[in-house]
Amino acid sequence: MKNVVIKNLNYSYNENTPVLKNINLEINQGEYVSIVGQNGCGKSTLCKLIIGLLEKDSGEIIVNGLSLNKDSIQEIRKKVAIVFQNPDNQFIGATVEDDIAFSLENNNIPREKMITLVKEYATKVGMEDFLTKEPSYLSGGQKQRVAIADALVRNPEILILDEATSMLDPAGKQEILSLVNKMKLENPNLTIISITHDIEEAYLGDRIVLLNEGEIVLTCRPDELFKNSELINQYNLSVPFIVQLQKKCQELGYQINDEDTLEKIGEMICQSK
Amino acid sequence: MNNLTFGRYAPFNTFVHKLDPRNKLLMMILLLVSIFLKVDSWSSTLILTAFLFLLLIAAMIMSRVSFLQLFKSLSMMWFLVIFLLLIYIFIPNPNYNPEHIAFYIGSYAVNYDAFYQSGYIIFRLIMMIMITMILTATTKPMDLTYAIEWYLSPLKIFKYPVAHILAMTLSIALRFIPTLLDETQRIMKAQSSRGVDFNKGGIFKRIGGLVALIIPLFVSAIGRSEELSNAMEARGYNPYAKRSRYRILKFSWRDLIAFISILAIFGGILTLKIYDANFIKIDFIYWIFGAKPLF
Repeated sequence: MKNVVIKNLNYSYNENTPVLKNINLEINQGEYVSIVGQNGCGKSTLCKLIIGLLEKDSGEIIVNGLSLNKDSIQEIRKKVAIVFQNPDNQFIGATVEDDIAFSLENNNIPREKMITLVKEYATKVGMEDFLTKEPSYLSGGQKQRVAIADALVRNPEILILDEATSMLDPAGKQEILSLVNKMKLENPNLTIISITHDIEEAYLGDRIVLLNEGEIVLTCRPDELFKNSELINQYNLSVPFIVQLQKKCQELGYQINDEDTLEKIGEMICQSK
Repeated sequence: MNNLTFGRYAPFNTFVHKLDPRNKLLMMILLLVSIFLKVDSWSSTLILTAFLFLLLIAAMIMSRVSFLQLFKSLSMMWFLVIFLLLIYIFIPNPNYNPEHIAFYIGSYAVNYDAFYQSGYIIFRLIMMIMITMILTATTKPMDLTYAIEWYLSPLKIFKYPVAHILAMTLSIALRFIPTLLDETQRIMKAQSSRGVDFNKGGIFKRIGGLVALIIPLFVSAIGRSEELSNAMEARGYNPYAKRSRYRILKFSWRDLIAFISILAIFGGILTLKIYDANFIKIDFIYWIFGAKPLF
């Protein structure tokens, strides 16, 4: 089933500078899509258009079979959750529990159900001991974990991560990525759209969409992109560590396949002499 | 953040903490009015004030508000004390009474009344501070906004969610105080590293330094508000739609006890005031200073 269908989408902040040009994209249910590209290529704009925070100039966005317009916007927002970049600016409640409850209050969920849901999702993201804590006592990674709980508590079909890890330290980033991985395993039908700068993060996806100056220049599997050194040079991308390692090892004469994980490569190197 | 200790919420679990914030707000108003009710005779007023003062001390002990904080906040009142004294000394007294002259400054006669009046005002101010301190130290800011929302809920008749929007605005403002304080410190450090000195120089130089702080702070706050509104909208916030509530306020037996006691005190003082009851007539002034009573 197609979760998100974008047809001939155009958007510009003002007439002379188009931000997105004729975007066509289809995303299947349960897919993990990474959207990568340089600063100002329109990645964040694209996701804001999908949840209707910005109004498109032309084209069509269909989410879960509903075409996005003024009447369907609230319905679509129930299905799409987004985690933004800045952990502070999306923390609305006074405490962790209030913040998770905020999404539920908006959907007019009865209080008894809210209490159980807040506990359940706080536990899922590992914040159950911090329920009554205020945001100033939390680290960036913890705040982003709460933001993910906020997003998932409404049981969305699509989760958009808009550079959700870019303001975190490496530990916090790892925390969030493994949490997303865990959520994905728990609910394989959850579609994830991850907008990112970080090439390691993009590599986790099933598919990479490369945006350049408002146009989709490439959609392919991550390993296909990173083996193609021509494309990498053309769009000035860096190569994920695992791909670099595989390449180096192949050059050194190890028998390494593209699917081999870090652990397996390590083992091979240790076993050979 | 550390210098904002006055009236900070202190997470204890006392009787006062457990009270309904709506009730606490109402009781605070009743107590404030009681303090400013003045019964006709000085002696009765003094006794009533002393009674209220002891009551507040008891409430402070009960709600575990730190007296240290109270003294700290009072230490800033010296200026006010001196200012009030000067005003009362040098403003001509309508009830001038030659027997009340305390001493002369040159040929200017200073009345005892100046001391009573300013002392009484200061004392009432101290009690006001105590009351607000008990309220803010035992009530989470968010609970206070819920209480305000509840009191404003009759505004629903205008078919516009005034109460809800106001409460939401207030709660977001409260939520962002620590965040913006952090931001202020960050900007101060950044500007200091670029050569702005916030502590030295004449008044104009300092104002210039302040501009270098306030403008970036505003820019960042406006940027934050944009992102915040995006996040709220994306999470389906719609103030006009029906929303359920996670926090509910409960009026319990504790509230009933507390409210009835405060109401009784307020009623008692009001009755004394209305019937001009000078239930006690000790001439404190004569007693202490050997002068005849003024009232």
